[in-house]
Amino acid sequence: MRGSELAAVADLAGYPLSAADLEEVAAILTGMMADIQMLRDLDLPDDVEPILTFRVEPWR
Amino acid sequence: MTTNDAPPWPWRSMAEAAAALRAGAVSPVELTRACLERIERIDPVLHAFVSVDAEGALQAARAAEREIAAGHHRGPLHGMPIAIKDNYDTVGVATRNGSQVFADRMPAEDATTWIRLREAGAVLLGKTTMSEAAWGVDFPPVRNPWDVRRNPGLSSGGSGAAVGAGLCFMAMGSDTGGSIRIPAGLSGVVGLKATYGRVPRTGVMPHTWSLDHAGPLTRRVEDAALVLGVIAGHDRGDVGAADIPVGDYLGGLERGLRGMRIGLPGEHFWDRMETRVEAVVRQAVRDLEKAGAHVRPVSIPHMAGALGAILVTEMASVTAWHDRYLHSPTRRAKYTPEVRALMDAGAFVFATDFLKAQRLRRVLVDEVRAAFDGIDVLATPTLPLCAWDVGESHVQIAGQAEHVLHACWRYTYPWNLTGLPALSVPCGFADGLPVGLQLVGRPFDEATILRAGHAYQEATNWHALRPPSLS
Repeated sequence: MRGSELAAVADLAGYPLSAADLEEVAAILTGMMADIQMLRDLDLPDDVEPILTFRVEPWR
Repeated sequence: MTTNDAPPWPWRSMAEAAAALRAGAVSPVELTRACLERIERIDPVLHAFVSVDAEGALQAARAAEREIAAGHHRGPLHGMPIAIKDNYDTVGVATRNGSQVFADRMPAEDATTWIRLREAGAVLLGKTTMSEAAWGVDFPPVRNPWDVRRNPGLSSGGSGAAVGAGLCFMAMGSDTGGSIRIPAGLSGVVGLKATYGRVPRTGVMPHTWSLDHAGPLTRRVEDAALVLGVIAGHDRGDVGAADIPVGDYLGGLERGLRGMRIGLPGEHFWDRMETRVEAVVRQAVRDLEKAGAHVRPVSIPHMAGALGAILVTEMASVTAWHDRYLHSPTRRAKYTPEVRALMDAGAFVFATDFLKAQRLRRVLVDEVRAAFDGIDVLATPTLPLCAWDVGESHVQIAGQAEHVLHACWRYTYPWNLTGLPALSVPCGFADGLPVGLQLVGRPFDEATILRAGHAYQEATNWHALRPPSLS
């Protein structure tokens, strides 16, 4: 992944970063992509809803 | 490593010091002076404290002394010198979150946990050093008390080093992916992350809302139980705080391990760790068995794929909280380049990945609940490695180079994703460096992991050993 490839996404996200900053970000994202891809590849059942407000309840 | 029968006061347990304070065998001023003397002598090497308020501490100690002498003893923390991480709000003392961005931040209100500790009579020595915004690897320049060339762990490294070096009786830390338990494991002390919501985070600067926990680092499990009894409980200021009655954390401590059912998770934990660390932790599990626990394997199938989930959750949340500072040119320039880049990267987390992560958390909670069927406590290593060199970004584990940030939280972040209580207890040494055993409990069952950890400390003496160069 190259920083220049991220420029349009950065603008869209409201983070118009310098070329040097984009290179730093690209290096970080490259290091994480295998783990994020593993998350994307997980085959979770259709009926699993995301936890949008994380709370812990006692187990009965 | 050295021990003796009557170590100087800062090395003794809070429980022992509390009994002596109550009996008048030692005074709060004596304890505070003993800690301040050690800080003055040793902290120039360790840099565990970012600020020390010697005069304020002595004033509070004198007030405690007068109250105790007048027969008004508030409890076991009355007159006890403690420290607090630099992300807890304290009126009159800057709360910098380890960052130049907040260098001039003077809180208008105290953190709820500090209010509770202060009302219990604790004496604040100062604030402990932390990594920038609870992130980054090289937070200048805290050192590990067991080997000052090495890192004491992130991001509550200052708290771990302060307790591990006998500079205070207890220090508060915060834990988003392991930052109480990691420094506890690396510095040879006890670290307790209670159930999500058990300890209010009001007045603790946020890192990741759904993962953040506040909690103590101590030398004895009994002391962690004592502190939890003071700081636990609902607080309206923290929307994540649980409105569930606080347990009795001291009452069952002496019940021992006989009959306790301990599960060893198979997937993920024990993977990719230093063999020297694994040998120490496996021996600790055998010691738990010898003391009467029944140990059997359990399964949490999806845990092996959970790293992506915490990465996207943490990165997106941190960037969202820091957003307005990142967009302010003057503030933005005050982040170190390393941390600023991490925060910028959080803007590239896709909502679909974030939601997949929160779906996985639901699956993990269900799987962990199933793993606890017929089990009281899970046992894992706290870390897959020992303290690494200051400045080192990559380590070799099982022949593979790995970023230390990837490696160090491998066994701790699962309990932030699921919110379960987890305790790190010193369980031995590998090449002279401390190793931690992690005990995980059911939601709000801190009492059982504290009971197990206390029984382990009663059966071993790792907690009594002191760093040779600091004794």
